[in-house]
Amino acid sequence: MRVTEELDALSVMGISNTLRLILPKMAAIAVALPLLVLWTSGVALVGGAVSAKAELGMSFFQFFSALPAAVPEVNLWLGVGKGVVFGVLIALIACHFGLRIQPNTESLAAGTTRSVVTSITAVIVADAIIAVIFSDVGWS
Amino acid sequence: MSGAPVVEVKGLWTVYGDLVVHRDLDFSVMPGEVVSLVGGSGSGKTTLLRQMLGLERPHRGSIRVFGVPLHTCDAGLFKKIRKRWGVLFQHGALYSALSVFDNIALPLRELHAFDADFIRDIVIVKLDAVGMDKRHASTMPADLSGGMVKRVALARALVLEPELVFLDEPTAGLDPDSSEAFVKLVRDLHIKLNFTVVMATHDLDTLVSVSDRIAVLADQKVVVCGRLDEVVRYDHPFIRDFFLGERGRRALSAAPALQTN
Repeated sequence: MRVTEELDALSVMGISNTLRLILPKMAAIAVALPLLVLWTSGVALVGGAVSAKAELGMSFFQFFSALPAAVPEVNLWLGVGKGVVFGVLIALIACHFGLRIQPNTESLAAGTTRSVVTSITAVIVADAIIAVIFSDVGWS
Repeated sequence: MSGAPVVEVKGLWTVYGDLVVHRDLDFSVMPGEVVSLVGGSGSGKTTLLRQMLGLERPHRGSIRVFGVPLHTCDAGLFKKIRKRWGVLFQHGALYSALSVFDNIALPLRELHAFDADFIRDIVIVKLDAVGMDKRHASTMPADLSGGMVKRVALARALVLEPELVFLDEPTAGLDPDSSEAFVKLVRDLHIKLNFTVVMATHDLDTLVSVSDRIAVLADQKVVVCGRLDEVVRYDHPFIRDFFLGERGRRALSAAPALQTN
């Protein structure tokens, strides 16, 4: 958008970048990432069930009926909540670098790389902080 | 053409590191005028235009638009001013994620004052005013030709009935035919709607056929600002090269203002 002067066009019309560009992206990823968490958690559990059957001979029914006792429900909400936090972080970081690029392709590429690297770092750091805060939660 | 100037630039300095782009530059535009900014590459036409739009901050000096100092007034006032002008960017700057219709409707929707039917009517009228068929309304900007992008961008710039219109290189990148049609369109709309136009261009034909006054940017300032015949008579190396070279003579021979001489 910077490269095609669209940001300038928004600005001269008096339309707020924060309201029209950053907020919708933040809302979208804050919804999408928890859904991704649900999807990957589901796939991981199915994978666990399959390997438990193959290696230990545990039936699927036995696996899923024992699951709630072994893994408390709070873990699910913790995961979904982390999804929301990471989503907001990623959106903010991406928008920050996106709005600061110069109108040329080289700066666009550099900005994209920087935003990806910073997002990954921020997510790892945030994950560590959350792990420390909730270190006593989620054990059965 | 009376009253207070619509745009007034006083004592403007623009400095990038060691490079002085504007040195104590003065420039003003009166209501209803079409003023063209010309100058060689790097003379700071686009920078001056961007400063008048509040996109860049001058190093020193003041820029008043509608009598309001752009860079020192409060945000609310600045926002109101931005509803009174329309801007046509060099490459159109249409929002690539929105259709032609939504592009033109966006400034209206942002006012939160009109219902959907009214907005649709206005958009159709504006599309018609710039000579676009309404079947293009659902097209995405990427599927439009260069000339059509400029027309849609002009429709978007004019949708709030602005008193002041900024055109940045309105005919750059157009073939001679569409460029001529576009110039005629701007001229007709200017007569009909009576807005003030500030235009940065280096296209001689555009310059000659629409401008009331021409401001020449050279040596980091506006060296001369006046009617075409006044500018041509002014002695300056840039003006000699620009207007009195072969291309310049050809364009000037078509200018009505000079044929009486």
